[in-house]
Amino acid sequence: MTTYLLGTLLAQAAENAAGGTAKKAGDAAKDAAKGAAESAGQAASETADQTKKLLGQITGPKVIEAAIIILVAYGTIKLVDWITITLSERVARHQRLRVKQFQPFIRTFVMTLTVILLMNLFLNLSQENLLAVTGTVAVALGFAFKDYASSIIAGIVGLFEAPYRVGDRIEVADSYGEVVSYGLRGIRIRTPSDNIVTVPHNYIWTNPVSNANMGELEAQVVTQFYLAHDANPERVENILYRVAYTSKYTHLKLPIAVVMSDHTWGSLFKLKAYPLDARDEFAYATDLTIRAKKQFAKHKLPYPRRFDLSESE
Amino acid sequence: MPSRIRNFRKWLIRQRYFRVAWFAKDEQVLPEPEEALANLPKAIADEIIEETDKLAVPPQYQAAVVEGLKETVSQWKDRPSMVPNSIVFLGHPISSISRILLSSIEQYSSEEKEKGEDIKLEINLLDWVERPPKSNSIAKQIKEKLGRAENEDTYKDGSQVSEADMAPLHLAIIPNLSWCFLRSVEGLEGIDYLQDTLLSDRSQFWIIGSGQGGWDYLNSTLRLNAYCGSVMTLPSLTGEEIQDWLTPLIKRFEIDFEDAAIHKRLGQPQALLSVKESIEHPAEAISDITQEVSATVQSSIRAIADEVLSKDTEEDKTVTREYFDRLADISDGVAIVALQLFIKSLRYKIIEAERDEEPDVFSDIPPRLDADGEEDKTLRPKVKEDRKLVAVTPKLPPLPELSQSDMYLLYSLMLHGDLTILAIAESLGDAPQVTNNRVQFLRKSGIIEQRGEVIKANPVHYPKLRRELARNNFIMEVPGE
Repeated sequence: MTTYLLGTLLAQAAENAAGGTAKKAGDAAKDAAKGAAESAGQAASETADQTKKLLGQITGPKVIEAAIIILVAYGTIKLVDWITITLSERVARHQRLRVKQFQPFIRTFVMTLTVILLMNLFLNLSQENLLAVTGTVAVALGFAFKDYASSIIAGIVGLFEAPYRVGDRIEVADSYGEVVSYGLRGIRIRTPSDNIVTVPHNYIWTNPVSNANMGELEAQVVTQFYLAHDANPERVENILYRVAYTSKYTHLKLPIAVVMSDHTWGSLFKLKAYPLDARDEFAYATDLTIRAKKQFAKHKLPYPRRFDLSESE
Repeated sequence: MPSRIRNFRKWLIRQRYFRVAWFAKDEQVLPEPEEALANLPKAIADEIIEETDKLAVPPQYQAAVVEGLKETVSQWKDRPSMVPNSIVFLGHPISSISRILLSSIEQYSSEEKEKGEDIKLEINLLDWVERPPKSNSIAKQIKEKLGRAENEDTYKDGSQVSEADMAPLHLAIIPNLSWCFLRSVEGLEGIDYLQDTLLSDRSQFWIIGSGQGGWDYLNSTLRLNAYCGSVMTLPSLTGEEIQDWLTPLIKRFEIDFEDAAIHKRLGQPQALLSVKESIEHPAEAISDITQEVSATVQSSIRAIADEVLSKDTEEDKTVTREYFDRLADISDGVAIVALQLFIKSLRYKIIEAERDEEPDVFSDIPPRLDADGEEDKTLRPKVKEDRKLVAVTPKLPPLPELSQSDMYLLYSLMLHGDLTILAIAESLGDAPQVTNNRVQFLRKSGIIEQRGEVIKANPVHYPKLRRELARNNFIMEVPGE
């Protein structure tokens, strides 16, 4: 149809341009347009035939076969999810995240394989069909599913580039939490308030992703303590070290540090330590804060009277 | 000196039986190996428990401590200001290091006396039988017991100290360092005091016993090892050494050892059914079967090798040795674990000769006892009475599934050996009620035991527990790693 219209347009253009000065030339152009229209009509009827043929091949058994493929793929994905999550919670803790990394790879593989099988089933993927289908899909995606396609491609790139992995604790799109799922289109993050936030993969093309543990189990927890200038810094430092040493959550094989900085409103102490399990980071920070405050009270260490939160650290 | 230590040791065992005895178990729930004992006639079970109490400290432990003391104390006596004035002996958190240490010091003292080298040292003994209930008073109480007056600490620095110049030399004994601290901000003040005193007070030689878990913790946080002299770990016992140690029990009860080789097992089809088969406890069943298969393969290979090489060794001796080698292997050579696994493996079985004469279908069914300890005859009407104690393949029980909170609690027990509910709550930074909930849950699973307020880990779970904790980033020493 497109070719036919093109041919007609060409014929009209040729007629207008010549202005009827050369009848022979005009006739030749008309012939050419007619030939083009005929061949376009032929092509259109061939495509229609092929479509009819393809549609004619969609039989009942093929639909059942497709349904079975989809069910098996769904079952496989659920099974893989269950196995990786169960296994990761049972193996030694430092192996947990490594096991979880298998989940997105296997999911992507299963989904890709399912799509190929379904296409092969209905579209009979010969070289010509493949080109035709790819072209059509590309145009459709280009207009209708631009962002979706972008997310899928970003997800595949992300598998290898790994700005985040399942089990990582990341800050992305104003949300912080643990990556609990790595899907085809996006990731899911569980926030400290137990909300699930879905972030599409294409977010990583142009935005920063802050990753606290990058595939490692350990994530440093920085707990801040605000005290007045009068507070004895050595005593505070000793208390904070002691608080970290005696917390049940502390990973004692990793370094513990106390950092102090002075401000107009008082002193800021940061206790940097690692919990045994990154999942305990909020419970850990709470435990450190509660026990440190008890000691501050016992030793009558004063708090600042005023917080100037606008001041940079 | 020996009499004071002996009296304290006896008093310690009497006063704190649950904490220090070889076989003191939870009385309310029945964790392993009580379950095995429950299947024995009550009189025999009671007698077994009584006999285990009479077991002496394994001689290998005593020898290690005595050797360590001989080397270090004599050097220090000659040059108190120049050589390290302390020695630390490390045991396992589930072993009673205080009992082992006190008994070994008694031995050391009597050996020195025999040689005519009576150590002639005053003793400062930290005669605690438990951790002080208030953790912030630990430092004060240690100072009261072991502290010296200021003027006694004077000595001529860097020169040979004469007796006239030096305050009288003392031996300061801390039988269990775990009772001198609690993992809390104020609970470490006792260790602070020791750190200050160990290097400054050179008129005392410090003999310190500690659990490995607590020691590793104090090193990683307070660097306590930098203040101490020698550190000696109690040796792991071999199969032969465990056998020698348990010989009084074996002889007293005429215990036989069952051959796990396949040809012997096939000869007793009913014994094959002894493996716990339970759908409700698949982990237990799998663990049981795996260990049985492993023991059967080992024994079968040994039996074939004996046959092929025509070894002259008596079969009974080989079977017994094999049993104890396996026991040493699964218990990591820890005496208390080996003893409890040994008791766990005891069965009251019909004598083989009689079984051959007339097969007895009831012979391998454990007796069901009523409240008075009498057997309920409806379950086994025709059982033969001529039975004896047989030790079957020793096996480690499977570790129950542990949550993160459980591991925090169990690691606390590994640090301190034994704890009260209040102390464990303080150590975890949790409320006592919350801690008690977890404790009761773990108690039911058999991994910990409780008597009164005192909680400790069940020794039969120790080998697997220490590995599980080490795998999860806790500071725990594991053999072979």
